[in-house]
Amino acid sequence: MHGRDVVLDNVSITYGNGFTAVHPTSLTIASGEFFSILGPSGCGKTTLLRAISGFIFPSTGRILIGGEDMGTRGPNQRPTALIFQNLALFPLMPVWENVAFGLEARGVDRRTRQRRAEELLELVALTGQGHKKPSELSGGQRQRVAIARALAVEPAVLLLDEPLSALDLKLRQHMRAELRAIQRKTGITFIYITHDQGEALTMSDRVAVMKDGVIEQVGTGDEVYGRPATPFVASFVGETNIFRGTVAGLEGGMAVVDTPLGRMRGRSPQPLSPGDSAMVFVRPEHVALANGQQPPLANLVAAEVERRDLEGPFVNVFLNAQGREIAMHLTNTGDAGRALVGRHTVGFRCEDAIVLPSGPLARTGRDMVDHA
Amino acid sequence: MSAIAEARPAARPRVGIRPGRGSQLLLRIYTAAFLVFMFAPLLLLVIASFNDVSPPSVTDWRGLTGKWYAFYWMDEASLRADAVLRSIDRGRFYDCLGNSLIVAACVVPLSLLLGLSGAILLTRWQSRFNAFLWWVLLSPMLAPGIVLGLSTLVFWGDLGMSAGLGTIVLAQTTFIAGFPMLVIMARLQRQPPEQEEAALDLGASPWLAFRRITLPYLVPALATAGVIAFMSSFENYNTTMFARGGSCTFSTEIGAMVRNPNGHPPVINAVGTVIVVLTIAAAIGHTILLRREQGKAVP
Amino acid sequence: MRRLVRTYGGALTTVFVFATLVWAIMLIVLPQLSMLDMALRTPLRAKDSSIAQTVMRDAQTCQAVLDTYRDEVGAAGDGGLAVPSLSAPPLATPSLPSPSPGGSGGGLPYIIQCDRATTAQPLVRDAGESAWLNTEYEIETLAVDITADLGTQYAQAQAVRDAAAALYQELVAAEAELSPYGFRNFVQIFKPLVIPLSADARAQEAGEFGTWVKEAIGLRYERDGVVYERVTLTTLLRTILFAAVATALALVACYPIACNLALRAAPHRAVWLFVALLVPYATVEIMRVYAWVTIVDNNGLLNRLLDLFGVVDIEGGDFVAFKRSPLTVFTVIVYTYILFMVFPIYNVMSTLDRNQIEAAHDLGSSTWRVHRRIIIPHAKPGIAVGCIATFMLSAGAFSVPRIVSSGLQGEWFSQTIYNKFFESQNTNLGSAYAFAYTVICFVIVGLFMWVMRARLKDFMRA
Repeated sequence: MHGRDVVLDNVSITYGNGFTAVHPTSLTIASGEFFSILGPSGCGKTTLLRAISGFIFPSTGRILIGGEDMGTRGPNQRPTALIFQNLALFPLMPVWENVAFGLEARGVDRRTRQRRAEELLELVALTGQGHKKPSELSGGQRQRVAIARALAVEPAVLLLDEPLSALDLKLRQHMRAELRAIQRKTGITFIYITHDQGEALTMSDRVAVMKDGVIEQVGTGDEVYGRPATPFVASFVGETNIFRGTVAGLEGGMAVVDTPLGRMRGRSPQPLSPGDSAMVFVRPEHVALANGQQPPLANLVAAEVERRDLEGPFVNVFLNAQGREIAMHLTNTGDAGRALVGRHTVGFRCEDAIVLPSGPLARTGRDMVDHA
Repeated sequence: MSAIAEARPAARPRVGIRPGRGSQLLLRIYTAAFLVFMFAPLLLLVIASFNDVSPPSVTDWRGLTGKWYAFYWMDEASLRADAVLRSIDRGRFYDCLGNSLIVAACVVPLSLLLGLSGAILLTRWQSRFNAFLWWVLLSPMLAPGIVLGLSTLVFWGDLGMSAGLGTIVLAQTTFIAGFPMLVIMARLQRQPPEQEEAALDLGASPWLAFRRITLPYLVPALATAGVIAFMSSFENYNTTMFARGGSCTFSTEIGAMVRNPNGHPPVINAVGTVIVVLTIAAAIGHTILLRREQGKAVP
Repeated sequence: MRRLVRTYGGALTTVFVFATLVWAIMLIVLPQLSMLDMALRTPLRAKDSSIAQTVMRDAQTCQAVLDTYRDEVGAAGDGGLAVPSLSAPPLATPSLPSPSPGGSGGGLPYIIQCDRATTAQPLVRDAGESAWLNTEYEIETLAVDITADLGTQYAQAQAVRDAAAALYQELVAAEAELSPYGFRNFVQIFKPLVIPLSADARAQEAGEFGTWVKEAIGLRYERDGVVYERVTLTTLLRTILFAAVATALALVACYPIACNLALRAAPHRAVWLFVALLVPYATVEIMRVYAWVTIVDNNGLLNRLLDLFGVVDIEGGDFVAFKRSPLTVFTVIVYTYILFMVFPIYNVMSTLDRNQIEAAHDLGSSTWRVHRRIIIPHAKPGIAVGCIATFMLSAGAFSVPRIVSSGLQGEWFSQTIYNKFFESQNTNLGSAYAFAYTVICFVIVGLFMWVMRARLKDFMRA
C-alpha cells in the first residue's frame, strides 16, 4: 500500500448558521507522511478531518488527494478511511466481519474476505480473535480491530480522530509505537488529530497547530517546539514562561524587551518595532540558577523559591519574582532542588528566549476553571 | 447539663418520619385490592366457561363441562344435537376470525413500513417541519377510533372503494403505524450516527449500509413493533365497526354474539379463557426473556 | 434532506419519503378533510330541491295509480258518488281497489301519494324556523282533492306535478350556483327536541338534580307548557363529563400503584407486579368488556347475589337492570381503560433515582412533601400522557356502551354518531358530529397539555 498526498487549496468551512469552523486554509501533506493536527477542543480539527473524508463539503476551496479534486464525492468514493474517536465498530457482527466489511462492500467473495481478515488481524496482533464480538474485547483490542478494518480497504490516506484518548497511559504509549510502526510499514499517509501535544510530537513527521479554525504553524516537532511562530503555539506546545513587556530596541536578530522584571533579550523571528507590545517565551528547562557559569547568563531575575514539584525523573521548581511565577525544570540528580529555598537569582540565555508580538495564548487549567 | 441531655431526644423533629410499616402495609393492601379488582372479572369469565349453563353464570353451577370448548371442533352431528350450540353460526365465526387474521396480516407489514419511514424521517431529517409532522403522524393514535373508521369509509368511498376488509385495513393502519414509529424512533435515536458513517467510509453503498448495519440494529424494535401491531389490529373494535361495511372480524363478531337478544352462550367465555391464558403465558415468557437478557435469575 | 440521501441513498430515501407522505396525506389528512366536507354539506334529502322533487314524484305516482283505476272503473264513469266521506282512513289500502260505494271519497281508495301531492310542503329548516315550499318560493298553492272524482284528481295532480317540476329545475339551478357548504349540520347539535312527558312524569323529573343542572345551563327549557331539551348536546357534554371523571378516578387509583411498582416494591416483587398488571392490560379489549356483561346481566352475578339476599327476585321477574344504568357503563369504561394510566406514569417514575427520595427523607421531609415536591414534578410527563390516553379512550368509548348495554342507552355520544351514520343513513350529520366531537376532545387535550406544560419530548419518554 502506498499513500497519496493531500492538498487543501484555500479550503474554508462555514456552517449554515454562519459559524466558520475552518478559515481559508492551504496545506500540503506529503504522501507517506505521518501528519498531526494539534489543537484544543473546538478548534476545527475534527471538521477538517471530516471534510477530507467526505462527510462535509468545504464552503470554498478544493481538496485534492493524489492530485485528484475530490469535489462532491461522498465518503464511500474517496480513497480515505476514517478511524472514529469512538471506533464505531459494528456491535452485531463478529470481529472478522467488521474487518472484512470494506471488502464486502466491494463485492469480494466470502472465502477471500475471511482470509484477508485473518491476515489483517495478524498484522495488528489479534490472531484468532476473529469470531468474537467487539463487546468481548478490551479497549486496546477494539482499537486494533478498528485499524485492521480501515487497512482492509487499502486506503491512500488514513484519518485518525483522537483514537487513543479513551485508553489509559501505558496502553496509549504502546499504541503510539504500534501506529507509527504500521504507518512506516504500509507507507500510508496518516492524518492524525489530537489535543495531546506529547502524542503529536512523538509520532509525527510534521505537526500543524490549530486554533479557532486557523492553522497557526506547520512544521516538524523541533520547529514547532523550538521555534514557535505565534504566542499560541509557544504556550500550547509544551510548558513555557511568559514575560510581557514592550520592545525597547532591536539588535541584530535579537529584540530587547522592557519587562516589569527587568530588561530581557531574546531571538525575534517576527518583525518588531520599538514600542510594540511583546511577549518573551522561555522554556522552563532553559531557566537556570545563576551561579557563575561562563559565559554568564543574561536575563537575570531575582526570585524567591515557592515550591518544588517532584515528577520522578524531573523536578519543577516554581519561583516568585515580584508576584510573577517563574518555572524552572531540572533533571533530578539526587538532591537537585531539594536545597533550593529562599532567594536566588535565575536567568537564561538570549538564544533560548523567543520574543513574539503579543497575541492570544493557550488557555491554562486555571483559565478553564475560572471561565468554565 | 442534665437538662440539656434530657432535652435532646425530645427535640428530634417528629416530621420527616420515613414511611413506616403502617403506610407500607396500606400500600400493599391497596395494591392487592386493585389486582383483585382487575382480575376478578377475568376469573369469573374463565370459571363460567366450564359451567354447563347458558347464559354463562358462576352462581348457577350445573356441572363441569368442556363442551363450550369442544364446540369449536365438534362435528356437525354433535353440534346439531345440542340445543344451545346449534343456534350458533360457527361457520360465520370462523370466517370472521379468518378475516381478522387476513386484516392483521396486511396491517402489520404496512404499519411497520410506514412506521419505519416516519421514524427515519423524523430522526435523521432536521427541519422546521419536524414537530408538525410528528403531530400529524401521531394524531390518529389520539383520535377516537370511531372517527378514524368513519373518515376512512367516507374518503375511500368517494374514491370508489366499497366498505370491506380493504377499508378496515386502511383505517387500522392509520393509527396502528404510530406504535412502530415510536418504538423504532426510540431505538434509532440511540444508534450512534458513526455506525452508518463508518459503513459509508469503508466504501459501502447506502443500501448496503442500511441492510447490514441499520436494519439488524433495528430488528428488536421491529419485532416488538410487529407484535404490538398484530395485537392492536386483532383486538380492534371501534375503528373496525365504523369501517367494515358488511364484513366482520373476530372482535365485531364477538360483539354481535354478545348483543344477540336471544342470549350469548359461554362459547365466548371459552374463547376468552384461551385468550387470557395466552396473554398470561406471553407476559410471563416476555418477562423471563427480558430478565435472562439482563442477566438476573428469575426468583 | 441531503443528509438523508447521502446516508440512505436516493432509492431508499424516496421510499421513506413517499411512504410517510402517503401515510400523512392519504390516510390522515385527506380522510379528515373529506369527512369535514361531508359534514359541511346538506344531506340531499334536506335540500329544498329534493322536497320539490318529492312532490313532483308523488304527483306522478298519484297519476300512475289513478291510471290503473281508470282502466278498472272506466265503465262506471267519473265515479262521483254523492257523499264524500270526510274521515279518510289513515291507512292506505295496499291491494287493488274494489269499487264499493261504502268506501272513501269518489269511490276511490285512499292513495297516499295523491294526499301528499301538494305544494304546501314543509321544508327542512333549523330549529325555531319553519318554512313552506309554496310560501318560500311564492308559487301557487295547489293540491289534490282526494274526495274529487278521478278526472279532477288527475288534472289536479298534473297541475301540482308541473308546478313542482318547474320549481325543481329552478332550485337545482340555483343551488348549483350557491356554495354547497354550510354549518347546518353542526348547528344540529344544539337543536332542541320536544320531550313528550305526561304531567306526572314532568313533576317527577322536575325534582331531579339532573334536570336542575340541565335547566341551569340552558340544555332544557319549557315553552308553552312543552318541554324542550337539546338532546344531542346533552349527550355530548355528558359523555365528556363521564370521560373526565373516569380519567380523574383512574389517576387517583393508579398513582399509588405506579409508585409502588416504580419506587417501593422490592425488585423481585416488582417484576411480578408488573406482569400482573400487564395481563389485563394486554388482554383483548373485547374480553375485558365481555367479562363484565356476565356480572351485570339481568340474571348475572350481581343480580344473583342480590337474589340470594332477597333484595330482588329473579324468578319473579324482579331484577336490577344494571345494564340500563349509565353508571354501569361508566364502571366498565373505567375498568377497561384504567391501566392506560398506570404504565406511562410508571415508565417516567422508574427513571427517578430512589436516592433522591431517601435524601429528602433524611433532610426531614414528610411523605406528602416528598410526593409534592419531588415525585410528582418528575412524573408529570407520565401523568400527562396517562391522562390524555385515558381521556381519549373514555371519550371515544364505543365498544363498552354498545356491548354492555346493547346500545340501549342513549347517553353515549359515540352511539349517537353510529346511529346517525349507519342507522339513519345520515352520513352528513354523522360526519358533522364526529368531526365536532374530535375537535372538542382535541381542544380539551390541548388545554390540558398547556396547563401541564407538557411537550413533545414527554410523549417519547412515556
